[in-house]
Amino acid sequence: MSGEPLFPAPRSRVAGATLGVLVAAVVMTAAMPAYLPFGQANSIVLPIIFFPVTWLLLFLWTLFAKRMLLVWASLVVLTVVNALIIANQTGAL
Amino acid sequence: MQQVTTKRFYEVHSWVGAVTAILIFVIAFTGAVSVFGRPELKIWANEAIHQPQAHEPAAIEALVKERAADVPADYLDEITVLFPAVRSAPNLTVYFQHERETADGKTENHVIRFDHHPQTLELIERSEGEIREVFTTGQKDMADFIITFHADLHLGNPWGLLLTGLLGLTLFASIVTGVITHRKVLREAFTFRPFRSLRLLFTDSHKALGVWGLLFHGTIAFTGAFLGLAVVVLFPAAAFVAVGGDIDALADKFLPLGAPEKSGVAAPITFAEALAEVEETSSGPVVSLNLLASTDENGVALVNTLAGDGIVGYTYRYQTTGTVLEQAYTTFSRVGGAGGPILDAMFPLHFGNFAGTAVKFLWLFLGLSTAFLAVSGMMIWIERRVYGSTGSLAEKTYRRISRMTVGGCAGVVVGFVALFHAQLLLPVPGKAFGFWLGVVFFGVWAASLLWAMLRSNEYRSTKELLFVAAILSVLVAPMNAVVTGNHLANALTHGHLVTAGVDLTMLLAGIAVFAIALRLPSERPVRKGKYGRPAEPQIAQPVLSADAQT
Repeated sequence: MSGEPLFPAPRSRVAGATLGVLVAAVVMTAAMPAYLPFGQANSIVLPIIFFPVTWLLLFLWTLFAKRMLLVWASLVVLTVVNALIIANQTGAL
Repeated sequence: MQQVTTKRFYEVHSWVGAVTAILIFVIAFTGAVSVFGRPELKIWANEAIHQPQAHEPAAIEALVKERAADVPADYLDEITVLFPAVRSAPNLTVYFQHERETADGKTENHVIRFDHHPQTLELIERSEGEIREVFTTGQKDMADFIITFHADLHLGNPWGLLLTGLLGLTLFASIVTGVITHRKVLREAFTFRPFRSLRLLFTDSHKALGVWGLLFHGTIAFTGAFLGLAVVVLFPAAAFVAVGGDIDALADKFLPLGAPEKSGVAAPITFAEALAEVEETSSGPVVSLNLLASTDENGVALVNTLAGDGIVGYTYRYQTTGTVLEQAYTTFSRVGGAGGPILDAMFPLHFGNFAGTAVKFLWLFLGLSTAFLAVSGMMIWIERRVYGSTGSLAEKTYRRISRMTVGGCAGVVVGFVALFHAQLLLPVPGKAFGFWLGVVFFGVWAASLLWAMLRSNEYRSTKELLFVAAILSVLVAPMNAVVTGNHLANALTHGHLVTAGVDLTMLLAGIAVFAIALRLPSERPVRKGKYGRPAEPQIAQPVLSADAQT
């Protein structure tokens, strides 16, 4: 193994894995009923049921990605795009 | 998998576990014992329901009619009956609901509630008010206390539920990263070397219990995260997007059909035949009954049962006129698709209240193993840092963490057992009882933590706290005999099987904990092990699996 640390940028990574991932996962879960093709009830319920899986995938990816800049950019894009979908759905746009 | 990737997974597993271990232990231990909270501990804690409950449906119908005559007609559109000793109700409770306007122009769900003695059906208390107020301010017992503590740590909604939901997520992450780190699960399921060293004992039992209970631990973490976060964050968020924030509209989409269209033709309140039919045909006990439009010809009776032989309970919807069964359904059957059955299964899979008492015992033991996973993982983390090469803090800091873990974890066990004695001995009537149960539980927990922090030897303090828990546990049955007169022989001969079962379980658990405490070392073994091997073999990375080192 080289001298490279196991988790580069640890503070930014921990912040992303805790707060960033939680916000992104909740916003994604809330927006999914707008575009999932499972019928209204299941499109609402299934993202909620599988929220722990959504969160876990984002959490592990945030911890294991090499570049934190890419992680933060992805979390922000995911959050903003899904927030826009929510805004469109609720008529706020 | 590359060694560095495995090591990363191991580090995540290790740190997530270390940060949350004490809280996960607390949640897992109280969750394991809460499996028997309703109705077993509820029955044990309430003398009036020690004996099995049986009431003629006709007698309950007559009682409801009698109470209906005492309330305004507006309250007859929604009547609920809660049966005693089935889940959380210690009394036979009948309440009448009416949505009415308050002085400030808002609407409130106002209820008039009648509590009846579970045996004689005599009226004990009449109360009224906003529904949540009426149902949250009643007298609480130790079963309510420990179940609520498991659900939200007594921090309430939303913060308590949010915290336990997040802990469910971290447990889920710990399990997944643990499985990835230790991929040779079959070999590790059978690796157990109790006499080689303390560290190997922790490591092997951590891995073996993790592997054998993997499906259970994963299910509990997944459903726990869902149950904690769904009510507080996820359903409100979904309601905001899907139905403009109206959570009631969302419930209307998912939950079973509500009140029927009223015909305007008056009819008497009838449900005895429907209740008798369900009691005879359902494998699960009837937990409650809802009467909608109860004095109308189109009125319906919803008879709700718990899971019997299957996983979920059913609601049987009867037209009260002519006692016709319209349909039988589960809580989320209207959702349909894959979501409905999964939602229906979430609650029983988490609480273990399906398919009989054997499943409850299985959930109890597996739940205790989840708690042990948390504390053994923490001990491995500390051992590696105090006696291994890992760790950057001073030894005394790690020892302090070790003492805090001992006090925090053993203390919650002692506090739980103390609740039994508090339930029997506290001379506090009425609604203050729940508060004093809290004083006892948190007082004992805090005293245990303080004791462990003040002792320099955490091995000795572990033994001492386990001895206290064991003695208190063994004394539950004698204390119950002295205070209520319901000693084991009496309980068994009078058919109070649940009370006798709880007393016996506490007795056996006390003996088992005493035996375990006797075998634990009083100080960290450093010389020869049982077979003359060095007690602390030179293992560089004992908790990393072999494939992580190759």
